[in-house]
Amino acid sequence: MSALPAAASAHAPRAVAVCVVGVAVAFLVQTALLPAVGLSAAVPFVYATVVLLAVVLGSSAGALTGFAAGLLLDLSSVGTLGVGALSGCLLGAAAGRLHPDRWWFSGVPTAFALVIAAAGAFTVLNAWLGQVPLVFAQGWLWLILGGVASVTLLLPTRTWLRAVVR
Amino acid sequence: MARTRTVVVVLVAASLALILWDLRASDQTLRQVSADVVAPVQRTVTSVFAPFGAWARQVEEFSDPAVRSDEVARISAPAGWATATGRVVAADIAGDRAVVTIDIGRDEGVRRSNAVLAPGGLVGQITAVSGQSAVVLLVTDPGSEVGVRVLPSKEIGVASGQGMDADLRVDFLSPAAAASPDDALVTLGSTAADGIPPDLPIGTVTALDSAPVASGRVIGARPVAGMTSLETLLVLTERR
Repeated sequence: MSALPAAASAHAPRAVAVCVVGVAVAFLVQTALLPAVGLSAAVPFVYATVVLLAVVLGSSAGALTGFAAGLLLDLSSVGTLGVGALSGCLLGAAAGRLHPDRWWFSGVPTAFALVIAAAGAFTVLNAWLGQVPLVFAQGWLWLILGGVASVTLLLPTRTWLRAVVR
Repeated sequence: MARTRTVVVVLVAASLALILWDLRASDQTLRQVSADVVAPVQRTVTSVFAPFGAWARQVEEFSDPAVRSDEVARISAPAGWATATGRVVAADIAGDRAVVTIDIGRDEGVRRSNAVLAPGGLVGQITAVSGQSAVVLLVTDPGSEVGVRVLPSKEIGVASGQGMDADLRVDFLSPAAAASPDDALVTLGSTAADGIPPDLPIGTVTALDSAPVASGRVIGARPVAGMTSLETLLVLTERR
C-alpha cells in the first residue's frame, strides 16, 4: 500500500490524538520505564513508534511526528537541540514509504535499519557537535538489539492502529 | 508526493535552524520548562515500574521515609556541606552517554557544578537545573573529566568516562606515577562553595597501563558505584 492513501483515509483529529499519545507514551517508556526495570534508555523505542505511525499515516504525517518526537528527545537530552528533530523527521518521511507486509527490501528489515540509523545518527551527531568522545560500548548493543526488538514489537499493531485512525 | 517533499524540506530547515541556534545561544530555558513538565511524570512512571527492576528493588520500603533515610545514611557526605537527596527518575537516550535526571532541582537548592554522591563516593556532577529536577553528568560519561589523586602515592591525574557501565580511564601527568591495583582514587577537588570537594572517593584502580601513550601513564579504574543501578543520590548543594 502506498503512503498517500493511508494518509488520505485517516480521520485527522483522531490521527493527531494517536500521534500525540503514542509519542508521549513511547517517550516515557524509553526515558523512565526501561531504565526503571533495569534496561537501557538507549533502546530507540520512540523512533520505533515514529516508524509505526509513519507506516500507518504516511510520509508527511510521519515526518511531522518524527520531528516532534525528536524535539522531545532533544529537550530531555544533554545533546544539541534539533539533532533528534532532524533524524526523526527524516526517519518518519522514509518510514512512510515502507511496505511492512512484505518481507523484503522495502519491508521489515528496512524498518530495523531505519530505526538503528536514526538513533545512531542522533548519538554520533550529538557527540560530534558537543565535542564529546564517541565510545562504542554497551550502549550501542542496546541501541541495535533494542531497535530490532522495538520494531518487532510495535509493527504488528499497525492493522489495529489503521482501524483506530480511520 | 510534492506535498511530502515540501513538508520534509521545511522540517529539515527548521531542524538545522534549531541546531545552529542552540550551538550559538546555548540557552537552557526551553529545556528547563520541558524538564519541569516532564520530570514529575517520569518520577511517577519510575515509582510504578521500579519494583520490576534493579533500581529500586525494595520500592515498598523505599517509599517509607524511614527506609529512605537509611539509604541516605549510607552516603557519607563531607562535613560542613548542605545536602539534598534526590532519586533517579530518567536516563539519557544517546548511545553510551551516562547522564541521569534526578527529582530535585533549584527549589531544593541544587545548582550547576554541584557534586553528586552515591553510597561509596562521587558519581557525578550537576550540569543543568530546573525548578524540580536536575541533570547529572555521571563520571563514566565520555564528556566527564574529573581531577583525581591516587592513594597512597598521591599522584595527580584526570579521570575520564568511557561509557555508562565502563571503567574510568585515568591519565597521569607523570610517566613515573606509582599506582597499584586496588589503590583508591579520590577527587582533587576545589575550594569552590558549590563544586567538587577534595578527597571524595571516586574509584579503585583495576588495570595498569591500560592504553599506550606517548607521555604519562594511563590506568583503568572502577567507579565507586554501578551507574546503571543508581537510585538515591545525595547532592552537595553548598559549603556551609
